[in-house]
Amino acid sequence: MKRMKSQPENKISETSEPITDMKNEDRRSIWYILLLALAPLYLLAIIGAILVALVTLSRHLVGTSDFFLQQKIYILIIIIGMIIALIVFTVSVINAHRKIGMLRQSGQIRQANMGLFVLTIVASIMLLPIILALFFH
Amino acid sequence: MARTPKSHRIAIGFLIISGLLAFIYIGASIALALIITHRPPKPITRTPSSLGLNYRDIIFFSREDHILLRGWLIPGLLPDGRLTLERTIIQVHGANNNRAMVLGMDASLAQHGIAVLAYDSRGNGESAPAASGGGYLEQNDVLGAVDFLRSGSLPYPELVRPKAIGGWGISVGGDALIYAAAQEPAIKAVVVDSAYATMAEYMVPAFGPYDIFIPGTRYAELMFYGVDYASVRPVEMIAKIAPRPIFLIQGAADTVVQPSNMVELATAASSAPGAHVQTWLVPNAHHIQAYNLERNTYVDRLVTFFHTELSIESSADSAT
Repeated sequence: MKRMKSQPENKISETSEPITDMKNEDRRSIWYILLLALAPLYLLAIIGAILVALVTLSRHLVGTSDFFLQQKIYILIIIIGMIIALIVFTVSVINAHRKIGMLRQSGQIRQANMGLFVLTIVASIMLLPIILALFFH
Repeated sequence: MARTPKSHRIAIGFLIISGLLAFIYIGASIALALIITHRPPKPITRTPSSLGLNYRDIIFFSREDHILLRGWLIPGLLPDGRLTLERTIIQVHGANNNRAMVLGMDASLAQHGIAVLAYDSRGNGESAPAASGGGYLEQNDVLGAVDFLRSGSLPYPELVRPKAIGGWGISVGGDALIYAAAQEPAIKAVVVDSAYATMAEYMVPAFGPYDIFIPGTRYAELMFYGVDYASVRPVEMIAKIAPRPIFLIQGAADTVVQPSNMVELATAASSAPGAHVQTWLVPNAHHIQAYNLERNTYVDRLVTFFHTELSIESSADSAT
């Protein structure tokens, strides 16, 4: 009887840990996929915010006293910022493409599909301002 | 190695195309914002002396942002041959132009005893380079001209300082004048020719087929110069000019600033208690062409308006 009672308890304790691990793993992989696929968007947003801050700062520092100097500073900030943004965007897209491919190869099809879905959302968000500008200017 | 599935290639392709389009849009909007705010100034090729007018060069600064502005002070000529500054009109030219824009009109006003202060708005003619604000930033230039007439060092020390100040503004200059007069009671009478009611209405024809870049350019301008052009709405300011008189002129064939703009401005101006608004829709006149098309009538109406509304006696205390 003792054996019969103890067996099911042991079985429960053996199976409960892997389920928790799987859930944690799922959560971790969801965050990983989001971080990976949203990277082209949030990295550009961070660069954009830095550019706006730099332009605003230079506007207040230079003021209207030297218009051409102000214009040169703006152009410099924007050109450098756009180049950095383009490089960051390219790298983050290549990275997302490669890692989603790796997930698919390792059999994590669900995660790979989720990554692609998030990338499509990111692409739509990037296109949205242009579409809105087309119809509501 | 497994072949990349089609869905994967489509998603990545969509992302790359979206990213490139976003970069092109942002880049073009920023470039447009930088280009339209400062174009090479149009050189001044004539001076009032070419029309036999007495004048002096003047220098003053815009109010608040202290941008150096250059202009002419042309005294009015009285019937007995004496010069006068008692009634002085501040003349505000349009975009990408300069103080010599309507020199013929200045001559006519001067011959009718009305002095003219004609100056180059910021970034135009010989004034200091600066961003153009479509009339909004330029309101400080008009206010600087008022300060100069009221307390600046006038180049005619022998003449009495202006007793009544009026304004004539054309296109974006008209909008600058509306903004300035709405906050400066020293401007006693205002003539506005071909001004827009809202900047948004002016932007659409100005951008033409590239109007998709209007929102992007708007945010770029906001970032660079701190001006949100969508909020530039002279139609919301014009009522503050009352009870001082306003004379609105508009070309009926204007495609840059549609005649409906004058209707909007007149309606808004008339809504104020004690408003005194007159309008003149000039048939067949295109943008800023009313004066060129109807010179004599234009000058006659201006002279009548300023002589009637700029009463030297009643303005003497308040303008000095």
